[in-house]
Amino acid sequence: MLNPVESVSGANGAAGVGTSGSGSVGSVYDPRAERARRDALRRRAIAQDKFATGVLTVIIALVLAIVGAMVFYILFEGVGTLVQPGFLTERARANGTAGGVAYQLFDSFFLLVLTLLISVPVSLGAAVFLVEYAPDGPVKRIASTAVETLSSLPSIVVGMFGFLVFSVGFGWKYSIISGAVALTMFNIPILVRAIQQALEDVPRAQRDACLAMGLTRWEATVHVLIPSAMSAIVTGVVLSAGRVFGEAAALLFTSGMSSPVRLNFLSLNFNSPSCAWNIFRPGESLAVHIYKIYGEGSAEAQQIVWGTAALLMICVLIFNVAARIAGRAISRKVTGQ
Amino acid sequence: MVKTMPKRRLEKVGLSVTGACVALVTLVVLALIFMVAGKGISAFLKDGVNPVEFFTGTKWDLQNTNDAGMPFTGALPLIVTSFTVMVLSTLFALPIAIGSAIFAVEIHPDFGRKVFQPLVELLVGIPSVVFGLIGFHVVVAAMKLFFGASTGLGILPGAIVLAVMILPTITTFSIDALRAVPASYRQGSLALGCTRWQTIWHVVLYAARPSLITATILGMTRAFGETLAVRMVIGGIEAMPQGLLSPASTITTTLTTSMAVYADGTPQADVLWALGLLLMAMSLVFILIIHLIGKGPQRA
Amino acid sequence: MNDSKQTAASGAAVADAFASEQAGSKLVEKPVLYTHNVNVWYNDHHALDDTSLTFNKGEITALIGPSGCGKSTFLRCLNLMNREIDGCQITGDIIYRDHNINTPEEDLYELRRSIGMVFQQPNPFPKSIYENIAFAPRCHGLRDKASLDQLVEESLRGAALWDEVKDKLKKSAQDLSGGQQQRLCIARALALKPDVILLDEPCSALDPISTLAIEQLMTSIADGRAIIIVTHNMEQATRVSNRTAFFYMGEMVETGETEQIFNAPRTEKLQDYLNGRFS
Repeated sequence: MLNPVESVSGANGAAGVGTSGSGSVGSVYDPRAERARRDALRRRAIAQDKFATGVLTVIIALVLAIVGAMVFYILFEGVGTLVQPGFLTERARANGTAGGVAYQLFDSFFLLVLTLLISVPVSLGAAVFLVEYAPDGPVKRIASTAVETLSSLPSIVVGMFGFLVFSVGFGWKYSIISGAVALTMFNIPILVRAIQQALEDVPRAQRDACLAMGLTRWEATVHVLIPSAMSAIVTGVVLSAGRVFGEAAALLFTSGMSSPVRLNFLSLNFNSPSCAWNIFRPGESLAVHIYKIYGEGSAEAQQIVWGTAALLMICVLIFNVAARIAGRAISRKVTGQ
Repeated sequence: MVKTMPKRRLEKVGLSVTGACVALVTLVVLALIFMVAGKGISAFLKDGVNPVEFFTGTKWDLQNTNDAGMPFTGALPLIVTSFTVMVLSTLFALPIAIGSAIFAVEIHPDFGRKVFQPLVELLVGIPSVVFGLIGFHVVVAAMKLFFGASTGLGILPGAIVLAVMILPTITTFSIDALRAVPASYRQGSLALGCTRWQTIWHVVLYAARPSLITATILGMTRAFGETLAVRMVIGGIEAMPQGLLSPASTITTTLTTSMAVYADGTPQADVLWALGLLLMAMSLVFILIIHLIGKGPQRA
Repeated sequence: MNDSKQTAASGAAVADAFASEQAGSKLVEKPVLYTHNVNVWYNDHHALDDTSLTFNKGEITALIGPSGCGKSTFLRCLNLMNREIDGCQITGDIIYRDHNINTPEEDLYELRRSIGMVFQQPNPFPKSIYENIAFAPRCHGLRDKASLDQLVEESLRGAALWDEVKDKLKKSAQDLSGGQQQRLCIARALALKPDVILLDEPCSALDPISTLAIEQLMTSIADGRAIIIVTHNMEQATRVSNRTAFFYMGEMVETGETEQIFNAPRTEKLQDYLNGRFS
């Protein structure tokens, strides 16, 4: 490993460390010149330090400005549309270039709920296996690599795979369920990693205490480890929900780019293409909606685009804040009433 | 005491339930890899697309066919554009990301933890279509304004939008990397009379080097695979880019626009799968590099 | 729970003969737990060498020795907690209630339920005080609310904690002081009615007053149980234990009545250790 002491004195003589760095081989030792030289070096080092701090401050200000400007720009452009009556409650007309985004909003949440219903249990199980059951060995390595691979795949590739297998292979065509499964594949690596981290952060002593009382790993996990890790798990799930909510590339070929013209929310005929709860009907999320109509020239379409973007941003903001609040509330509840 | 389910069986149930989840995930990933690879390779084996032509040809046109009835499948323009966009965006994002990570860890840790990190996480959460939308309206307009470009679409706005998108990725992982450097290294350096900057530059960054490289590669992976935001600002013309401000098309954006057009099994669709295979291969290469780096420090 | 002896497992006759040889003739009751030539390897590292010891009900045995001497490793063999460590291998016989538990078929869960363990750091669960105690019995099948309430009170009384916490049973256990947490951990172990309790340096993270409380507690819970305590504190060993075993470099060097061990050590190693030549 790196030895800090060596690397420092080796890398720069400017530190003013004793006289060892003076290199006065063969020359006459002149204390005054030596001191002047060291002072100059020290002054330079301090100036360098100040300069670097200045540059870093500028950089961080830039990042903050970018984040702030983006959020405010979107809200500025979109809130006007957002508060218009009907925008959130009316369906889209003229292929999305007029009307509201009620169905898109519904479909987004429908997709999100379905995705979480599938991905949370699977990710929880996988993370528990990786942390609690799998011994260090090939099984764990292969599974971890698989999760890592899935997380690094471009979402468009996941979308293509979903198209090939679910839409074409299983004959689900463009459908909500097809999209939800594609989103699940996108979401699982994020969740597995978050839950794995949360479980690993639970002290080993908790696990040992359970085992020493004759409990199984399963009981230890269900009754102690998961409750202990619950706040981090919930934070991870809600943050991932934000990511899923805004994902579009994986949906283009799976859930499609259009909602049915009319949805019936009261219908319980789950085979009807107009039943809102039918998971085999096509659907269009807010993010896909933006992608579909961003290039439309009409003023109304542009208003809708910005309104939708603002809506998406606000949802994501809410997810972010909710993640923190929920996490904190749960950790308070778990550790004692 | 009432007897519940025998402990041994309970343990087996737990093992099999969680094991099944892992097996499911692993199988899906393997299926994905093999299916994408199979589909992609069939373009070369079944449809007779010339691999050399695919990697070096400069004419990409799926709508028209040549005399042999084959579409034009020279993917070099797409590959070049993808790599250019990736490299440029990383170059833009890297100094800013590392700089802000240093600030958030070394200079104002409290500010970093309480204000900066939540904001960066927010940036991660902003959907890519929203980035694209802002790029389309702000960055593209700026290109027209500053460079007098006719459309303002092209590689440069794509790289700028991507730079902002991968900024949080690199920053978050860099922050973790810097935090992981033991405080004793810093104290050792400061105790020798080094300034804070000298400590950061010569000790902290040096010690965190492998993790910082990993952070950068994770950012590059995201840049290479990002689709819609790039699609909205790059122009979508599948030709060799003439400059940084002429419309072009990356591998991912070509897939977005063409994938749903061609029926499954046609040479056109298969060639698009070959592009998908290329994307997948690149992300596997990135993972491999990260693994090699991960092993690096132990050897040194 | 009752103390009915389980039917003797294979090799019980040999074990009996060994037990009487080890424990001498003055014992009326058979030892509840004894080991014969126990060895432990962590991968290639031979952490414990041929250790044979006997533990009786009503006795407190202290395991002493310098750090890394194998005393904790030995302790963790007695409820097979070492099996939870990757690459750890235990050989030899560990005879508990007349049968060898060091077999792959041994029901770990049943075993650990009747051999309690208390760890170095107090490790209450992030649950309420009540739940900390009621949780494990419930997992072992005790569902009845009234019995659970009674068990919780009994265990807390047994650990001399009842008076301090009876009004805040629903409060988080992690708000208790370190000493209270450790007594809660003892109460948690008592709730399963074990006949052996293993304590792994239970006081090393505590202040002197809490330490005193735990030491007094040990004497009271030793009634009808074998208590085995690992400690690096020799005064503590003299204060609480009846018997002491001295470990050095993975070997059990000397064992005997605590008084004899500290006043008339027979081996040179133990003499050196008591004189502070190494620690």
